[in-house]
Amino acid sequence: MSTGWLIGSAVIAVIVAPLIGGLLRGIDRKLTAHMQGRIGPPIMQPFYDVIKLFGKERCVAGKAQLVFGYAYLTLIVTAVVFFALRQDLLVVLFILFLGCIFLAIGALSVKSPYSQLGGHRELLQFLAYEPILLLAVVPIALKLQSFRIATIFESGQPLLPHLWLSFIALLIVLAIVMRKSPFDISSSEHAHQELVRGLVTEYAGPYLALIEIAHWYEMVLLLSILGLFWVVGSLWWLSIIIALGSWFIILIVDNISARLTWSWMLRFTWVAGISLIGSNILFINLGWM
Amino acid sequence: MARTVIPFGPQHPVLPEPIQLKLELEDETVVGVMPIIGYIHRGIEKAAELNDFRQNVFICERICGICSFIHALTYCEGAEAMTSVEVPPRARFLRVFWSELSRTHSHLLWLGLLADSMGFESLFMQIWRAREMILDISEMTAGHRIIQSTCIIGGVRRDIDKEMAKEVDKRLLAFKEMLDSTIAPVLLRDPTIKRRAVGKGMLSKEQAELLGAVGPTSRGSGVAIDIRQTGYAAYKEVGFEPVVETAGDSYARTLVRAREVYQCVELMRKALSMMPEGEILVRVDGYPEGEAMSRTEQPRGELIYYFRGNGTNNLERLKIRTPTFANIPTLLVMLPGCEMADVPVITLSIDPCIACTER
Amino acid sequence: MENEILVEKADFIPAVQKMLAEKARFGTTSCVDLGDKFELIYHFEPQESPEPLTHIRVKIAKEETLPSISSMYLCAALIENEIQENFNVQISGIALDYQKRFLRSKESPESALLKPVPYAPKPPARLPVRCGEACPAGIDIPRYVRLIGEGKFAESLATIKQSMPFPGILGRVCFAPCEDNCRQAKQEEPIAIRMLKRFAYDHASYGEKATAKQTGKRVAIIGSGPAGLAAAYYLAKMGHGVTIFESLPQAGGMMRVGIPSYRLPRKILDDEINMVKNLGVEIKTNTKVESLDTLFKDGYQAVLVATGAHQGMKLGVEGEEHPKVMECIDFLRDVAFGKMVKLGDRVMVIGGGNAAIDSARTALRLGSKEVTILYRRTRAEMPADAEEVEEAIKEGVKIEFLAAPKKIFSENGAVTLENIRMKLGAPDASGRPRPEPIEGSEFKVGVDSIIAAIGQTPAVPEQFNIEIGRFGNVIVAEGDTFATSKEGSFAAGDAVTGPASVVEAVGAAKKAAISIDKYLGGKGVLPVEEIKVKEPTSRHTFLERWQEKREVEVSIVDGSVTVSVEKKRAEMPCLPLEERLGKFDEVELGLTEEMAIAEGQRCWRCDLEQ
Repeated sequence: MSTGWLIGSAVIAVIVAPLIGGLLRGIDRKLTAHMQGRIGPPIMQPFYDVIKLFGKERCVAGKAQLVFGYAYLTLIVTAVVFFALRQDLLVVLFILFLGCIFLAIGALSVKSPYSQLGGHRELLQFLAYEPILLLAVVPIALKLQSFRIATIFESGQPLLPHLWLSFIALLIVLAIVMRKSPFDISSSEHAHQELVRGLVTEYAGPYLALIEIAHWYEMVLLLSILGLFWVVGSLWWLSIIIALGSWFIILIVDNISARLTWSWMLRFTWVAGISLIGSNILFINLGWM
Repeated sequence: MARTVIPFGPQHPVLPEPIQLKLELEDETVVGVMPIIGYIHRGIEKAAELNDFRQNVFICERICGICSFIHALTYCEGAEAMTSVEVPPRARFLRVFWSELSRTHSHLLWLGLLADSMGFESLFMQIWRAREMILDISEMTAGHRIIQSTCIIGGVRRDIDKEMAKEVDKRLLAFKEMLDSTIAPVLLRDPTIKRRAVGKGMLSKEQAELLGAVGPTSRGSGVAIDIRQTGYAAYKEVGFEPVVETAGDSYARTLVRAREVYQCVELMRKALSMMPEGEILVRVDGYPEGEAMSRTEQPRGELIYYFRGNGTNNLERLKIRTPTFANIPTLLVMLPGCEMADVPVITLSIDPCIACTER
Repeated sequence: MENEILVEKADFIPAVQKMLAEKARFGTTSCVDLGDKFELIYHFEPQESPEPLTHIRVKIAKEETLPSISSMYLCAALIENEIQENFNVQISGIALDYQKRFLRSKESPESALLKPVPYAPKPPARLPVRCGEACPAGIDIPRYVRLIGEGKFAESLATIKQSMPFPGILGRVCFAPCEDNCRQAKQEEPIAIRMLKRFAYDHASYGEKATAKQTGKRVAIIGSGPAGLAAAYYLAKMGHGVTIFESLPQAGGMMRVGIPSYRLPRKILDDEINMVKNLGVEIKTNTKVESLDTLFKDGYQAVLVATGAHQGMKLGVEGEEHPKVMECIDFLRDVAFGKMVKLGDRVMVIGGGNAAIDSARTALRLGSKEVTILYRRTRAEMPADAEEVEEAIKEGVKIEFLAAPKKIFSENGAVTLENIRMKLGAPDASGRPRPEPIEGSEFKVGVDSIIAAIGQTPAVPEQFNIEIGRFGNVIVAEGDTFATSKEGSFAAGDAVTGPASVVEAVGAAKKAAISIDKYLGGKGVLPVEEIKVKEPTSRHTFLERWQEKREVEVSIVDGSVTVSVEKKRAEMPCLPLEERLGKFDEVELGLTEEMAIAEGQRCWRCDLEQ
């Protein structure tokens, strides 16, 4: 595949990813509302919200927080670009982690106890899902002998049949990243939580809008990684179905569960995630998958 | 992590009303708590001294938006005792009906808020949808959705005729059906709710007695205090047994309220079917003189009114003790030791009504 | 009540211990304020019988301390805190003591985490008010009244000074059109706005600060009356060199020669004139200006004619030239400058204006025994201030209504006045009923002297060469600019309007000063000192005050004293009658501080609420 084409797709990804992310958020809200028997907001509501936020007064609790907020956005966008350029999956993930750490540090740089606790919880949450996300990549490498995304595209066979255990582990990660029940611990999508909005309590106006956009990028990136599990052959559109299907599962889980605590989350993700991925690696080594 | 002090409230999204809990945290564990109230003191006790004792019914009704009818009922009971008025039996049965209607919608409101505080939005929406049915009945029978304003000294202002009683009965059955099919199973079986509520905010029977807990808070700890047992209004005729759970945690308190909702439906249906024919209002002559006490069971617990009159149109003193006022001290033993994430659930489990508390 | 245990303070704790031993449940505590005592009723629910409750009733004196029961019943701590705060009952040893900060009415000192957002509340938009609109000088009346109510006297005085330079004078002699227009007058009595102005002057000081740069222009002012002094004040503040020419030996104009010193003490007048002098204004007394042209030749770029109305009007009756008949203006001037005036015992004053009342009261102070005012209409039509008339009658002045002089002649050594009775007819041009003589009702009165006080007109020298109106002998000046027919010369005060009031003269002089400044090339902006004072941030003042009013009626201060302050208009303390005659001491003594503050708080604040 030509370099020009790759660069073009990277540019498109940077432009399209937030649009898709925002749209998905809109559909999410509509679907959730329908599940709860409400009418819900218009599908474009997330965009209206962000546009409105941009029109508000610029106001920060501290300059450092601002820097970290921008760093978060920049790094997430970089991760998306690397993904679109079909670079090493490990690089993409580490850049993503770095971005998320900046978000947590940004929250910790403010004196507000809500923000502090939110940042603290974000780090714990990070501790919960980061190993899973990293380990989930290992079976891919085992299978294809490479961490490069391009290799996945070139491999010619879908990964899901061999790696469905890792895929389930990644669904847990997705729920955490989307901040959905039962994992909406460091910052809930709505503010009816004991930490108000935890992590992002102290962001306001245009800066909150930036965080929101970065969050859209992050979600789209995660969904794309899930889509990697079936990107080849004549059935390439299945990857989109898989990504949207996993996203829909998260929505349903959100609506049938209450929020749980971080200690439970840490236990659950490690036990469930590591055992799922561990078995997956074991099965590959044994040649069963 | 060092000790942090979190000002939980007075304005906080999970708290419906302004109370401040100053939480001292060690990591995420609460080690100290200081409840601070006094943000919405309105001086209703004083206002009741300045107004005509008949008008006070409506002032007292506005102490609380959720259990307004029961406030009016308590006031009327006391005022009737002072003016030696005998309330006609039909009015007493109607009072039971509206009291229980208030209680039902209050409990449903609370169950919804609890679900919301746990981040269980869809349950919250479903419970409030069920509550709408109760509010519709309220509007149909009293003309208002929340503040019914049907109770006055000497009886009630509105009657429920046979046809309406039939319709109410039909709606109550439909409401019960909805509870059975959607809400009760989730409350009783959902693992995430259990995980969040079971064993959180323990209050033993001894502690409940020592701290003077009332209402569902004490009944969740196995203390069978329910003023309806004394048989005010027509509770004696209707028959009443308190709902008691013994676990003493947030989940037990939730179950007490959930079971009480069923009980309320039964009480309402009974009251309507047993209601005798006759007058609903008698004339009140004379002015309140001497002292009187009046106690009722609010959705949140025991409500105490103390009256002192001097034979004039105005009361000399009206003292109101609302149930949340008695329940706030229980937070002092329930919160320390819990996790920050459990604070909303535990705080809500006493069903704090700050507007009541401050008057 | 049944099941009641009445205990003394000493037996209180044992009684509660007994309840605890019986495992009774604590309900609540009711507190009743009995005036000198508190009655506390502790309600318990015994274990065996839920109904009825058991009550422990204890009465304590207000200064007594009651032990807390929260060591036995922890749940009682909250209600004890509430009683401690709401009733001021002293309760010792509460387990959870909020130290009277139970209610969040005060700033909680320990809430360091919740910092208030810096936010400057905007003062509410103010509404036009009737009192302010009625004031010819345009004083911000509601504001200064409110500031006095808040006890901020210096700021209040500064507010007055922003639009009127002589609070000391006008606080005494203003006829207060504002009070006539006060909205509160319709329901209660009007606010004593004038007395408050005087109070502000007497109780606060004001340093003249705002002065513009010197312009080098020179202005001459003819006449040092209220109009001349006010114009000089403003022109000096705007940076012009001002010289006042006064033909009399002392400055002050009508304020000195027309207003007797028992109404306006000379010290106050001198202080106010000195205030103007301190701004750099030169006052040349005993200097009569003959012609405006000479002034222009002397280097003055502009001239203000403020000569006032000092020419007494003729009675127009037979025998008017009798030596015992004098003009009131001459009479008052002579008294003011300390000349001996012999009146005799019986004095007749003709006229119904303020000048007539002043003359009559002055005559009393000079030792006349019997002073009568002759007026052709009734009291309702009298142009004099109602308050002044009241005071005059109190002091012993008689007023003969519906009578007019017809003839003056000498009879048996004394001067005799032949009068005729009048009746009221159809309204005339001024809107008042026209007096019509009743034929054959003539009567004679013998008096020692007659003072004619039927009005004054301006007397402008012909050499000034400016246009004089056809009626009333007044100078013709343009409505907005106060310019006369002569280039560079302006006119203001009584010389333009005919006899009017001090405040109208000051108001006109202010406008004239602006006009002169513009003529001299300035912008016509008065230098005004900014007042730094907290303004109300909401319109909820009415509710607040309503509560205040109720509280004042019933409040108990220092334990037992019940203070009941009636919200009525403050009465000006006056000199007793017997001390007034024969002297020229000031009659009105001024409000006390408490009275002024109460009066200021009485205002409805129409500028802030409807």
